[in-house]
Amino acid sequence: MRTGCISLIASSVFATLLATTARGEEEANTFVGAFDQSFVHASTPLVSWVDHGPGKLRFDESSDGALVPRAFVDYRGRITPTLLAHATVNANSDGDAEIGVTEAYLEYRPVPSSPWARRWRFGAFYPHVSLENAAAGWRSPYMSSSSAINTWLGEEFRTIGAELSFTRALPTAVPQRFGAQLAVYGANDVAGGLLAERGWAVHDRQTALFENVAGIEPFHELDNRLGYYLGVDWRYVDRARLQAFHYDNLADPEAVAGGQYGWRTFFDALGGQVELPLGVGLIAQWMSGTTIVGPWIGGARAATDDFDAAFLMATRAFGPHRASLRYDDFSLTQVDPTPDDNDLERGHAWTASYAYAFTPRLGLTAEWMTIETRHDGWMGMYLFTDARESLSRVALSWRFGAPPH
Amino acid sequence: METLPSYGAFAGGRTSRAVTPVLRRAGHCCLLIVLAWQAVPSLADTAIVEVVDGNDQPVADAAVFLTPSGESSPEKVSDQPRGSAIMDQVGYQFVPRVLIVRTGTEVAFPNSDNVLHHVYSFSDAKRFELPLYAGTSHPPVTFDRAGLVTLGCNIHDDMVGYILVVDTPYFGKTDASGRLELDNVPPGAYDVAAWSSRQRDTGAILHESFVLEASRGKAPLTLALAGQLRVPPPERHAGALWQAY
Repeated sequence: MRTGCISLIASSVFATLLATTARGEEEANTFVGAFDQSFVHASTPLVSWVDHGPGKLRFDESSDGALVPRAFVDYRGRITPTLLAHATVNANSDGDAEIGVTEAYLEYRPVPSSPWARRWRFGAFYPHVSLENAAAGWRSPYMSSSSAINTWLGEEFRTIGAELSFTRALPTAVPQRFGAQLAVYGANDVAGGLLAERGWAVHDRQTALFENVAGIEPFHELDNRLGYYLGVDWRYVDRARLQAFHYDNLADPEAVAGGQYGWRTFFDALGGQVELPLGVGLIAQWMSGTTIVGPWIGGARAATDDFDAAFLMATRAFGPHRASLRYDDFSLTQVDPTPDDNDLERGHAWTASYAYAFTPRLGLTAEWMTIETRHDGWMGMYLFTDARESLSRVALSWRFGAPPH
Repeated sequence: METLPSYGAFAGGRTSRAVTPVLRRAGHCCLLIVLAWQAVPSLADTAIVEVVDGNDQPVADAAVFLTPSGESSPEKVSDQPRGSAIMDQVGYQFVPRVLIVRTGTEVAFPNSDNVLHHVYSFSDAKRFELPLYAGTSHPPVTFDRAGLVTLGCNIHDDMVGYILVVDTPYFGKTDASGRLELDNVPPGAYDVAAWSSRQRDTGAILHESFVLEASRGKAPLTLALAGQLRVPPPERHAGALWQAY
């Protein structure tokens, strides 16, 4: 029922947008988007996290064989030459919000008066930490799913505040660029809760702003304290990129309101992207951090969880074909006062993807994924701790609008 | 950022056919300028300039300009018309990447792309910003001070262009073989300068002096530019590997 509704709404919206954007490229207002239908074959002993289960896939046995639609529209409006409005709407057939805004912000780019150009963003947006989710709508241009790291960023993170970034603009006799970002934000106090309670996941669903996702509302302000992040990056044309990132939401782990708990979450992340000979692209990211919740009792918080994840992805484009392969490794260590409840998760995932573009607008993506996880906390409910989940997915996708420059 | 060394007034004495190679340092880059000039029997000659790097490889797209200098300078050139030039925006690039113009030249920025470009410069020689909406015309910008003007686009960070503004009518850029022919250069003493966007120190312009004499025979002026240059930037992909759409 939902599926049909989404399809209908998305189709009509997109047809309208196509009619209005196909004519001119002059970019006072531009729309980019996609609509796709996936055929899904899921094999897992676990209920999907979307339905509040521990499963790491977006789908489970109940959605096996289903046709699943998804869509997004990415809007950019230029208010003045230096002021840009940007908003993204995602439509999904599952979860709390079928249609929700994932990003909405203003970007101010004053004309540089020195080699360091300043850029401001105000509103709700993703930090520039994902090398993988580089396409419009914060999607991955390489695969249907995102790595465990970026899946989690899409689930629980949004900068709802202000970001100031500096980029080394000129002179650039060598086409290198340096950048640094600093942001302060609120309404991210619950970030970390979903990871701690469920564990890592690998999928493509982004949480809409202020959406309740599997019982967690990550975009809540509980303690009226601002969080921050810092990032630096380096780029050599489109051949190589490096970045480092530090995040801390500075949440009060004792804060609680409306059934949501404050999770003090901080992490470091490193990322790299390089083009190898023979046109092979490599992207790697690593993340390590901690999330803490609960009052001090007996010398410890209710839960202190250390998390670590990394992935390595190789991709190669052959004309209209693209093949990609990704390996994910992830772990979660819960250190809490009750000795019998030391949940621990350790797992890895392989994802292989092949995409073919019939035309620049119409494409087919076939993806296969397997996730093997050992999660001690499953014993109580499932009487096992080890699970292998796999997902095959074939998506036919239609895109519209010009890619942003 | 751009620092233009003052033009040397060294007249170099009398030189008939060739000037001994001279090595001079400026910043991190050194230029070797070799002058060999054969003059046709007229008041104005064709100066042929060749620019090569430290490995004797031709340097394409190098800007070269000759400024009359010293007591033996030729007749005044300041009254000649200034003209106009074009710095276009094509495919998210400045075209040409390097433009050399005389002081007082009006430069048009037509924007051949169908998107907005927002051109700016904070160089001392010319500070300006110019929103270039597609499909509309814009008044040209007059460059009335000598020096290097580095251009950027505030919307497309990867766009970089250069306008070298010189106070002489004798200038040009080398072709793919590192060669430039300048017609109608009167005999006399000159400061010759060369600049390449591939220099490590993009603000440095290298100068040598020489005397051009009217003499018999055809005149190749060979200017060799030595020093470690940056490799040319690789071409950007057409969006295949890191396609973001």
